[in-house]
Amino acid sequence: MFGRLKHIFEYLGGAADDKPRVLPSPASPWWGLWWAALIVSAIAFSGQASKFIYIDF
Amino acid sequence: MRAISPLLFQLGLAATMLLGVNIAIARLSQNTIPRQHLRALERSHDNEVLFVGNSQMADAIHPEAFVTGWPGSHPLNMGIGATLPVEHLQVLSASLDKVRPKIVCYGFFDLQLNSETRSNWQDVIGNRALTYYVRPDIGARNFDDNLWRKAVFRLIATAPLLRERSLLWARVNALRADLAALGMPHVKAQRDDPNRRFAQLETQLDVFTLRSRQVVADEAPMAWPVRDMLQDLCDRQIPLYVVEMPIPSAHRRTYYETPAWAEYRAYVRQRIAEKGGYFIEASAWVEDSGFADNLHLNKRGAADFSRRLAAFLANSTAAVTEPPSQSPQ
Repeated sequence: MFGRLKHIFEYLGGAADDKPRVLPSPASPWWGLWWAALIVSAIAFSGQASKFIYIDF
Repeated sequence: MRAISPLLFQLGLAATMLLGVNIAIARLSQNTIPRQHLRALERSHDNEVLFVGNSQMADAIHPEAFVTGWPGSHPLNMGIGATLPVEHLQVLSASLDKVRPKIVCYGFFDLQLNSETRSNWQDVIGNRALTYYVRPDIGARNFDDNLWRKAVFRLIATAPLLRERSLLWARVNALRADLAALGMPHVKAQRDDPNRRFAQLETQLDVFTLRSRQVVADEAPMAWPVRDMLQDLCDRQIPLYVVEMPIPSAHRRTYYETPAWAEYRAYVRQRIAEKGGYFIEASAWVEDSGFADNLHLNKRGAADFSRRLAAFLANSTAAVTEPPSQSPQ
């Protein structure tokens, strides 16, 4: 179980080439959702560069 | 063609999802503080006493106490926390598009009137995001130095996910802090200490002194948003009162009770008077027990300050019905 999960993450992260069976084929349109989710996550987690926390007051 | 089609589908699906997220963020941001102020502006009328500034002004006006000090007045506080002069100009301009106030009070502290106002998209977050949607023509002036920055401004102004990204960041930051606090009970208390956070705003004394002296020696103009505020209100013949906001005694002793600040204050007072504005030296109007932290007034401090300011303004405006030739002391 852990090995499969590790393989999935390695494939998603580009560290492994052979696609795990549970993931759709590279041609599947669902990868579009994956990339959009990555873009949103990057924006959400990229934080802020300014010195002062302006958000919550 | 067969090889391209799946890619197009993927791009289409990604675009659709991003559009959905943008719509969701736009809905989530309907009640941000700047938007609440804009709605208050819609309900306001002419002849109000309009307050503009940052969180110091936002916290300093106690409406009931103000009316006690100046019976019959109608205070409208458009002070918004964590904003800079360019956003203050935007808020003022948006307000003047809707109403004609009786007078305008603009609160400042330290060297804000002369501070550099060039913005980067990384800094324009939280309440400062109003720069993208409250009179964006003014906000765009901070980004018009090259085509790339102009394009970035337009892109961010169009996409709620980018414009209001601090809505997501705030939650992520809270999550990070909560995770970091696991098994470390004191970490959260430190994070929430406002004095610790606001202490970051204080400049080193030697730098502060040098900057204030430089402004006077170079006869440096005030920041362009402040100049525009003064000019606009002068043209409309609406009196502007620039208020040196209350600040705790420790800060006054260190930064304000110096020859350099006295020179700077006199210089700024003169510049404001040249445009028909007034300068109110109110930094010592509230004693230390009236502060919630080392920058903002608490409720009692705000009530005291509001009463005193109202009485001052009532006397000043009664004495001056025409554009002033000299600042009241």
